[in-house]
Amino acid sequence: MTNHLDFDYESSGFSVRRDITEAHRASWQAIARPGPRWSGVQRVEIARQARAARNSRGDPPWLRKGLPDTEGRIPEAACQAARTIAADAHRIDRDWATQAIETLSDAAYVELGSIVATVAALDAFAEALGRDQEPLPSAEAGTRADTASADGVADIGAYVPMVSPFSGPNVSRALSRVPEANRLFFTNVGAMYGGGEQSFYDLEWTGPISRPQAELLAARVSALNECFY
Amino acid sequence: MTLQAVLGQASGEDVAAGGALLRFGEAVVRGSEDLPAAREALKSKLGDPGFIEACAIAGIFNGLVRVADLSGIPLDDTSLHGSEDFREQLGLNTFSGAANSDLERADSRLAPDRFFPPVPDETAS
Repeated sequence: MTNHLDFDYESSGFSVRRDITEAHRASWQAIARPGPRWSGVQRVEIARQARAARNSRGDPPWLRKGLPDTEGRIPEAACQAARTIAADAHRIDRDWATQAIETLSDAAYVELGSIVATVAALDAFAEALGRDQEPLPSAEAGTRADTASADGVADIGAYVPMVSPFSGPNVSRALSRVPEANRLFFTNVGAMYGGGEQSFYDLEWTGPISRPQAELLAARVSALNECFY
Repeated sequence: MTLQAVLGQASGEDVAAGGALLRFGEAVVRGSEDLPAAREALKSKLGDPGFIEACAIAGIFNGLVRVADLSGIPLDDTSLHGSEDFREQLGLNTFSGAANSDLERADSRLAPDRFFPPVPDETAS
């Protein structure tokens, strides 16, 4: 089980808002549990592969050595998908995504992607703070019945179906093919992007940094990742 | 906000602590040796609470870009039409993810009155 002292930012000298800390702890607990398509052991392995790949992002793919062996915990296709999303997401195109989805299934791909993106966000936060990356959680045993319902999703021209129609911020439905996967990642968005006293929907923030400051930083991070969206 | 600054083509100093924010964002994304110095420079500009908020922004956007790229989500109409005028200028249409949106359909005449919300003048004394 996840140690309740995971993400103990306070003890390491960082006054991180409680809602951020709670979101991070909840994420680790969620990753450790069996999901709709992947077991807890597989989900933690996906996280491990993603972390290792992202930590090697400064090297071109053919020079990345020392990436961990999966030891058969996840299929090779899942390992490669996790590593690509983690370290080379800007290279993903429709052909690549189509092949990955055909091999894994769209629900498994979305669940995998949610884990990779969550680990990337939390690891980048740690690096930004100057804190060691949080040890990955211990996986819970077992599997569960597939609950990745496809109700309410449609082809909107993306690689995977998404909820449609939809009235919220567009990107917040990106992983909606698997609602649990969407919640895993976007719970962190709610806490880390305009959380606390202000909401993401507020145009004028009253927190420690202004909306223009936040958006400048966000846009620069996005541009450096060559993210068109 | 200076759009060129986002692409490293301007200083970003029309936003308070803009230069330090840009430097920090780059150091986090690249995991560069400049990160410790960029971190301290940003702390000196924003103070600890602002610095931690900036870390959260940098962190979550490292996740969001991966979500957008892995899912292939296309731009919504507001973003599609509202960004037509500057996407080409800034070279954004060369990014791989551009292929997921029907850029031919973009029409800046259909953009909202303000694509970016009004913000206080941060340069005013």
